[in-house]
Amino acid sequence: MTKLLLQIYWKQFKRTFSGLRAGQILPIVAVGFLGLMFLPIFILGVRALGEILPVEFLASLFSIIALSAVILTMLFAIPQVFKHLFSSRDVEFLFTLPVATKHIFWVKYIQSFFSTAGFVWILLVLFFVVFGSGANVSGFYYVAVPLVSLAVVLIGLTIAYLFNLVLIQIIPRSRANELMTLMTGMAGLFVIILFQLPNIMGWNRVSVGLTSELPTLPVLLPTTWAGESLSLFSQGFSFTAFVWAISAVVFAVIVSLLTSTIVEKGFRTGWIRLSEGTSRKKKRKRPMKKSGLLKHPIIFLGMKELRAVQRDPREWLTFLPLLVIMIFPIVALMTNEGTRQAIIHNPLISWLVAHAMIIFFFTMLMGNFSASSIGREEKAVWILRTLPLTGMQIALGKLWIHWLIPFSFVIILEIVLTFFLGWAWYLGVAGVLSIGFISLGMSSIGLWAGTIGGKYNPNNPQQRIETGTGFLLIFINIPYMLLMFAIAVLLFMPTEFQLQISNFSESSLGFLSFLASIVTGVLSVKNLLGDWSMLVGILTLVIASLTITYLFLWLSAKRIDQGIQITIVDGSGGKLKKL
Amino acid sequence: MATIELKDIQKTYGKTEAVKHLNLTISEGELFGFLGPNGAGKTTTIKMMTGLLEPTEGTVEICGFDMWKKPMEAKRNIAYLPDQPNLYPKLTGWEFLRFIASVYQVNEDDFLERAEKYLHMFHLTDSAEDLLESYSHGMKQKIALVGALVHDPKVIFLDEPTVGLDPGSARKLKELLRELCDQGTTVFMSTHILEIAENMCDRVGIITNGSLLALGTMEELRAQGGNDKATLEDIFLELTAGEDSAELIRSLESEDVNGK
Repeated sequence: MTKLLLQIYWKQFKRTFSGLRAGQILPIVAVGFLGLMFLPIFILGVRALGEILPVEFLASLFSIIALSAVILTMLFAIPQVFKHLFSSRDVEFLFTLPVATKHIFWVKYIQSFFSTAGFVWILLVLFFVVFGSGANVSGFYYVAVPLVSLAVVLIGLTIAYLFNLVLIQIIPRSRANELMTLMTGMAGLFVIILFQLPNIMGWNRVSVGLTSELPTLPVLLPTTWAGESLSLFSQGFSFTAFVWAISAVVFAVIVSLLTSTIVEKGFRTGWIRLSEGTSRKKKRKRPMKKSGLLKHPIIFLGMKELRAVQRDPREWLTFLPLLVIMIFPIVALMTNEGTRQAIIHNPLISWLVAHAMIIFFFTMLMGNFSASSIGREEKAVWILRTLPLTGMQIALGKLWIHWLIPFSFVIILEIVLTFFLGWAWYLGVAGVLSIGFISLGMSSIGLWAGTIGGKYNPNNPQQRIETGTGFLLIFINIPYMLLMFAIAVLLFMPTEFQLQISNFSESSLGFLSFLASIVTGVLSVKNLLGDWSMLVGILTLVIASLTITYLFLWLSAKRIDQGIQITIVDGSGGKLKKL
Repeated sequence: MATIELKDIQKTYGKTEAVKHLNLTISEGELFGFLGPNGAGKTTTIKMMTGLLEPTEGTVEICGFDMWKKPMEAKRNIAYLPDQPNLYPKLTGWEFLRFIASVYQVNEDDFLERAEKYLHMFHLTDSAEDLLESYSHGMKQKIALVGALVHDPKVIFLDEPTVGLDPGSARKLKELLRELCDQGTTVFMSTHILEIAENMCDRVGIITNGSLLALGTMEELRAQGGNDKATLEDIFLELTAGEDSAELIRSLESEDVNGK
């Protein structure tokens, strides 16, 4: 029966893949291409690490890598397993057939392995093999690597299954869905932290003492057994190495089998519990809110968006990349004593740095946030299409709230920063106004992006625009950000810096040099304008941002009037277009 | 006076003609039943009339306004209830109704009076403060219907309105539609339930493969078919079942008559 089900899944997978449109294949090719580009860097880095790391520290490093692989597999697999076990459309049908739950479970397990854990396994094997080639290890090491890595990944996958089977017994369905989305975000965050860890810990200074900073993990962990075995195999065959390796493999097999024994309780009853929902609460008769209710349609359109964002925590995941990107430069700036002192004791510098960062983060955030408002309409898009609302009214209704929500955070942030960094009050006000105007344009550009590539994925509600449209959004936002950056320089940077920055521009390379040349150019214009530079700067900022805002608002309204198409990703992996 | 006027509308997808040169006039206060087998073009026609799909050719006029040239004026007069009521999941029933009323700029008192009346009629008063995502299919259908009625439209389009409704609500809907039509509202309704069309509708149109095959009152349809005792089901099957099936139906009927 398992074989039959696997054949069906394989057929479905093949047909889903062969039915992909060019627009869907492009992101896959782009990701593959990026992966291939980074592969040589990865290989060179890992190989170099293999060449320099002393043998006695291999066990610690391998154990850490194995533990990281388990965590990574878990984080990626938990939402996937939830989807396969409890959200998949075929489960209901399969439960009505005379198929043992265990068979369904194992098919799902294999499916999960090939969709997430297998990828981690390949990466892990690649890491160990490349590392081994650098460290010039014994041939037995290469034989052990695939098997031990597989055991490690299976442990992670099995924990993901156990987690889901238990979780489903204790939390309500809506919360489970939200938690899974959060897990996806956490997985991304973990990957970034994993790759940034060497920088944060100072491991890039290998000669200074990488090895002394490697922690030793408890020997009770099976990942430590895997690490120990590979470390010993790297020097040749030994019985101890064999015992460690077999222990890790046997442990993986035992936990997998144990998990399958609780399937009947966890899988079937969990699915039933999810499908039925929790017992209905006794209805309270609540007084209905009746007064002061009807507002202008544009205001109400925004309120409708606010309710959707407010009542679904998954919507807030849009802000997650912002947090991720924000953490590292802030940590980098504040861990350096020199820069920290300069920032704290020089309000103008701290103001410039803070606003450069806020504008950069807003470029990442605002566009995506307002773009998401189109995909959010999903199958209810017919409502707006049949109501007597113009495209401009709809666009305005969506724009004001998607601008105001992040902007209100900026106001709070400005107040806090003004207080803590000792800025003059007018600098705080200037910051709020500048960000207000700049972000208006970004929101408008994002809204337009939403109208050309709106997407809705019920399993990942934060995925609201097509990948290609996401890139387009970045490409349009960057020149806009550069324009605003030039205006900010005109307004706030003293002309005394012109010579230093000009020198910096000549001595540096790439994007930094380009930025510095913009600053030099703008400062020379500022010199020419003299006292008029402030007025010219403010007028340019207001006019440029309002023009961009209106232009993209108009384009969005036009698209809405013509009828927007939202790509709705259905549960089977296929896609359909909805007008 | 004609409140809905379709002039030679056509909808094509590539080489496929979903709706073929349809002409139709519906008068004020008329309850019009639109029938046809699956894939006949009913929903496509309704979508063209409600501004969801643009006709490839031809015009749609609602209360004298062209739906594609004067969409705001046309849409102010209509309400639409789709067969799948996909609503805003994170709004409560009341918030949804308020949103609709705000868009149509309904007077506050009128809104409250109508909303309470229809919520009570469809037993939704107690769940009006709940999020729409917690509603069953039937409840969503009913709240969408209340939303359609809350601004007192001149024309109501309903696509399979009784699907998903409990028998009590279905009966109330039928009575309400009749009452609204008697007061001057025009209702354009697609349905598969022939009994509803036969008993409720002033006129019936039967569409198949995108073409309107029959149009008229029940008496007119019977007269066209030359059988004054034919039910709507007989007429529908005769028109839509294809030549072979129609022949089979005729032979069964003649056997039935001879047997008697």
